[in-house]
Order: sequence, then C-alpha cells, then structure tokens
Amino acid sequence: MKIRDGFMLREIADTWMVMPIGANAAEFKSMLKLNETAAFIWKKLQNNITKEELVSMVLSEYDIDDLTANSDVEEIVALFDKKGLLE
Amino acid sequence: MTLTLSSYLASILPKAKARRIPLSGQFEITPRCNLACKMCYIANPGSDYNPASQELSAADWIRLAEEAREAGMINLLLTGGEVFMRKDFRELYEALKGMGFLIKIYSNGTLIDSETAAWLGSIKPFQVEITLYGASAETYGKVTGHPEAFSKAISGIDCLLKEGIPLKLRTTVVRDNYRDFDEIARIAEERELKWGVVNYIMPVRKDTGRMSETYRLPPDLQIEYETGVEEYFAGKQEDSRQSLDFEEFSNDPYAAAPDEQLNAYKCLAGKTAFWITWRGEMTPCSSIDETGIYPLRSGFQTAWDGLKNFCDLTPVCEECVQCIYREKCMTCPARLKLETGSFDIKSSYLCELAKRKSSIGL
Repeated sequence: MKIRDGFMLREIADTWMVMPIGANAAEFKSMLKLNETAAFIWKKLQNNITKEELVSMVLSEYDIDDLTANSDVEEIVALFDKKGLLE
Repeated sequence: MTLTLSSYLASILPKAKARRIPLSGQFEITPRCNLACKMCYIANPGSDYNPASQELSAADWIRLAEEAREAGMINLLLTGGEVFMRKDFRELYEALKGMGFLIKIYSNGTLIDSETAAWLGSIKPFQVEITLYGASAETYGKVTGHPEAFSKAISGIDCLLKEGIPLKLRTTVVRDNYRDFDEIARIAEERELKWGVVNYIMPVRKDTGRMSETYRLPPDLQIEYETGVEEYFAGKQEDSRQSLDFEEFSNDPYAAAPDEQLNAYKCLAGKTAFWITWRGEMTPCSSIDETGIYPLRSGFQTAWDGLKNFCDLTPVCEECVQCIYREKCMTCPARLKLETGSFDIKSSYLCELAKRKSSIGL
C-alpha cells in the first residue's frame, strides 16, 4: 500500500490536514483532517508498506495493545482507500 | 473526517491567532499592469524606472513561500499589478500550487484567453477574482484608459467559467463607473457569479500609483451609491456579495472581533496575515509600504516577528477609539496613515463618511 502522488500532509496549529496539490486540487474539493494516529499512518504510507508492517509501527509508536492497533490501522486505511488516496 | 475550507479555517483560527501563526500571505508579485486605472494604488507602467528589473524573481517568491509554509501559511493570494503580465507566471504558479497552498488570484481578466484558462483549469486555484471596471467599452476607456479592455475582460471571465474555475467578480467604484452598477450586476447575474464592490479608494502609496484619492466618489455620492448597493443586495442571498468595506483581509469572516484586538489593527494583519510588496518588503497589508522588513534578507520567521512587533507598536488613534461613529467607520491605522500621514490622526474623509452613514442608518 502507498499513498497516491499529489497530496500533502500539513500540520497547522496542532491540526493535521491533507491537501490535494497540483492537478489533484481540481478533483478533490474538500480537505481531510486527520488525528495524530492517522497522520502517523499517512506518513508511513509515503512508502510502499503492508498492513502488518503498519500495525507493527503503530505498536512501536503508541502504548496500545495489538487489538487496538489492528483496529486503528484497519479503520484508517479503509478511510484512505474509500477517499481514493491509495495507489 | 472531511470538512469544508471554512469550517477548517474556523477550527484553527483561534489557536492561530493566539499563537500568531501566519496563515495568510499576500504576494504582490508585480507592480506592472496592462491597464492604467486612474485610481489604482499600484499600477505603474514604468515611465521613470523599470519595475520588471526590480521585482522579485520567481525563485525569490518560491523561496519566500517555502519559508512561509514552514511558518504555517496555508492561504496565498497572488496579486499585482496584473499577475499575468509576468512572463514567468505559469512557472511561479505551478511551483506554488505544488506546495500545498489554497491559492487565490486577483486579475483584471484581460490577458486570459482560452489557452490560458485551459492551463489554469488543469491546476485550478482555490479562486480567481476578476475586477470589472465598468459595463461598457466607454466606461473602461474612462477608468482604465483602454476601451478595448472591456470585451477582453468579459472574454476572460467566460473562458475561466468554461473551465470550471471558481470565480468571483468585484468592482472598484469611482467617479467614472458608479453609474454602471445595474449593468455590472446584470453581467454577474447572467453568469451566476458572486460579485462585490470595493468602495474605499486609498490615497497614493509612495512606491507606486497615482493621485487616486481625487478620483474616488465624494462622500455624498459615496453614501448615495452605498445605499443603492445595500438595497440591491438586500434581496440576495448572503453569500452573493462581499463586504462593502472589502479590502483584502478586512472582510475575512474570521477577522478579529473588536473585543479581541491585540493591537491597533481590527483585521488579522500582523496576527495571522501579512503582505509582501513587489520589492520584497513585508507589510501588514497593501496600504502600508514602509516597514523596512525584508524577509529575503532576514529570513521569513525573523521578518514575521518584526511585522508582529511593527503592528503591536502602531499607535492607536484615541479620537477614533472614543468616536461615537466608530461602528460605522472604515478607519484603520493603515488608512489613517495614507489619509493623514499619521497612524493616529483622524481622517476628515473617513469621519465624513461615517457621520453620513450614521445619519441615514446605513
């Protein structure tokens, strides 16, 4: 899995948001506001990575259990996929 | 969660204001213009100097934008002069567009043909605002010195619409075009475009411009005009107009409320907004041209700190603060400086307008 080209993650005043850039700006009218975990996953998805690797990274970063990490990754990846943000 | 731009900005503004994060930048990328409007504070064809050789290069603007992005800039206005006068405008715009900004462009529309609109349509800005100076070649001739510019502006507008580019119109009202109100409104209505009126013409700025204040409406005519504008827009949806007192960020819906003022400025200048002149000087807004703050020399963050300090040290006009007409008045430190030469001396012109507005409940 990998985030498509043409989007940029920005942190402004403690909020994370995904901006469509270049030609993508014409296609995506709204912006995506992310929480910290989603922003973390977004950054990891700049490189091609498996879901299992993502869960492992989330577990290393946050003090949470396997079940929660799996659930968070599933939910966030599904959101990115639904929005057409994944390659 | 997905969200609209306005809800996003509303959500971050309180924190941005408290921390004074420069969310909004306005880049005056050229003083050059193909029109010669009598009232313009900046249009200068360059009879006594060569603006093109003095204005910042595309690389300079890109560097400024990169540093401003690091500091938090998300809204970026590209204005002039006429931005399409720059031969490197496409190179500059494309670079900026790739940096994650919400870009707005001010233009007179006359240099936008179908090919230019198609290019812009392929990498759409957040919005283009076209200023219409009248509703006929005759009026354009009087206001801009170029009668042929009217048909070119209309063509530019229609080319942008064809490409689905978010578009808004506005009109700077002066002595030679105030009678065109109904016809300009019709042009906007026919195209279902938002339209607004710029009703404050500032006196000449030192680095550019003409004797623009002699061309603005006298107070009695100004009030009569504004009354007509109020009546026209009264039956329209709220978002079909801009503020009458529009000037860059002064109409920002998230502008600081008076009770939240950190300094003499009612708007967001020096709080979350800044202007950079064509010579690269950072100022609070288009109306102030002498701060001595140059971000390309000092670095953006140092310049922004300097601008905040400049704004905080701007003296307050005590007479204005105490004035009973204050709520109706367009006064601000920048306008007072232009009108009177001082930040804290009241302006007889603005006073007169405010009194007349109050007297008729406008």
